Amino acid sequence: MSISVEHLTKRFGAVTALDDVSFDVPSGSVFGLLGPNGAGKTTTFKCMLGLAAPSSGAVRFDGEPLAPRTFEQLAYVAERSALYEWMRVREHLEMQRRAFVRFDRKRADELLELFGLDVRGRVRNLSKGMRTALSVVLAFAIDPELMVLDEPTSGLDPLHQRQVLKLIIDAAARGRTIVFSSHQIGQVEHAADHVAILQRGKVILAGPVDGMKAGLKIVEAVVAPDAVLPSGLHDDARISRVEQTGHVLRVTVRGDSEAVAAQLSATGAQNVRVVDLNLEDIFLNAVDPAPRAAGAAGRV
Amino acid sequence: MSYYVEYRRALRALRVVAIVLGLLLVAALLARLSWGKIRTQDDFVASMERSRTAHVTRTALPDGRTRTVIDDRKRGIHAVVERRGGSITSLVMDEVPSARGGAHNRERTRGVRASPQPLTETTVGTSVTYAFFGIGSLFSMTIPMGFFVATLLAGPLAKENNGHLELAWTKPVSRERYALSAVLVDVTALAVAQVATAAALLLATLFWEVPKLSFESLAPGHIAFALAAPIAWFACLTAFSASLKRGPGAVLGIGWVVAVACPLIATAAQNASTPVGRSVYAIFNAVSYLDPIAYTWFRMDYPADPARATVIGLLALAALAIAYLGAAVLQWRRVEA
Repeated sequence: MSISVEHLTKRFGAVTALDDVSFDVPSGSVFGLLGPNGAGKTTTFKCMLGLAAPSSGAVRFDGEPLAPRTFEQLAYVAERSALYEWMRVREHLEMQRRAFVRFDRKRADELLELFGLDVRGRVRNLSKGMRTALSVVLAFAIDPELMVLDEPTSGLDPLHQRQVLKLIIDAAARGRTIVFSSHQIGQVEHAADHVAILQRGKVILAGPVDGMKAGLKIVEAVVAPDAVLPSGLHDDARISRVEQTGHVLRVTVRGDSEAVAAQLSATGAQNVRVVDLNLEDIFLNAVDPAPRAAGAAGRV
Repeated sequence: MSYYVEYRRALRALRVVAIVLGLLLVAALLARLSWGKIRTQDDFVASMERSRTAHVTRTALPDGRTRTVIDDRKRGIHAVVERRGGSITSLVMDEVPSARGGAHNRERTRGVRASPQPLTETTVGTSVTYAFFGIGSLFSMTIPMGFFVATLLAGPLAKENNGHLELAWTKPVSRERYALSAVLVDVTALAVAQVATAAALLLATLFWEVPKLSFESLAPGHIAFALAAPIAWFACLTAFSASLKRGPGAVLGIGWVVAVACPLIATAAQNASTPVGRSVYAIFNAVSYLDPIAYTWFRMDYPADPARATVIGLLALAALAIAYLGAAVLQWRRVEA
């Protein structure tokens, strides 16, 4: 199932939470939605699924607007637990079984075992991680065509985070479409083939991950902590970002990275090498750090 | 099925009802064990004989028995008691037109008709005491329990709105259907609770006397009224809480105060002679038209025509229930997660 988000805008009074957000999720893809806290990821999901009414714009699923029947093929894991505190795990399973014809009890039992969930347990007694796990179980037991997962690894231990990623990748291998958000950029890079990066309600970058990486390289070097960047590099149009953490200098370069490496070597930098970009680099490169807490990173 | 969660909530409410009714039955049983001797047949006959308005005639029969005839027109009693050696061998009671009014000595309160006085009917050799219940009157007695359960169940939409919309609204069913199915589950639970309450009342009566049900001419209207009043109250609370993000607790609490206070204030100001008093009456009287609880007493003042009062009350409650549920669903459509 493909999704087309078209010029989505959502205002809460004077605050514009989403500002003309557009992106496409191809059918069968794993789509990562990234962004700093408050960027509008959850609001985007809510507007996509009709949980919040957009101020303007539209969302289409296989070219059709959202309708109750869309949810026959859709599962959603909310960022915050929407589970019923007073109900037991097995009652949540029963709720899903009655609501979704695709619900697979055998699959649910396998998933419960995977996450170590006891069907007799009441939700109010579950930890945050276990609640996330139960939400994931409820979604994956339906095995829908489309899964929208808002922070599906939130609160989970690393072992179970890995299990969730494996479930996402397995589902994608079966042709399912998955849209998910996570602050763990490594996880998104591990699973996603498409991403969109949101900042302050706007899409600042969207497309296939491979396409984003193409043409960008990192030049890494060991320098003195108080080293001064060669003056020529400050105005170099090829350089989009310079980051120094202690002795390690990382320069993001679009185009001839070897020439930049040679320039750095000429200034006395040690261990100069050219490495491929990862998604975290792309994210940090795209996101304007201005409103973020002061850190080592910064745009030149 | 999208109403599973509401079904679980309804079961929890019915569990509370079962506990309350169980406690009532235990209390009735304890009362029976404590005061059982008060209601022996001898005491019952003696109490009739002691009445100041009773005319008692005693006759010695040729076979050694004694016959006592008790006529009490004021209470509508005519009883013939036969004894042998002090023990009652036969007791026959007839209901007669009382001096106070109607042929069946019914006492009328606003909106609810009290059941006739208990009658006894005894044949020689066996001694059974019956309590006669009109089924409509029996259901009228379940209205308080109906209001209690309606309050427990009320606000199903607000309960979903309290952090569960991400689960509720991602099911393959429209919001309207979701809301209406939840309401239907709750209304069914309300009816079950009231039928259970009626059954418990009969069971409690059994500790003293054998209940005998009769189907009065107004019974269908009374039963419908008894079921409609709590449903309208449930709908009222649901409408006033439907768009709340947090639980409906405040609405339920304040709702009771307003629903009881409005008719009380209107009653107090009913005969006011000052302009302020008349205004107070006009305001609270108008508000009470929207108050389902008011229809069980304040708005049911038709002593001359109980049937008309029941029908008008029933129609008003039905209209209120539909209007409140419509308002609730309209709000529910616009709520955001």
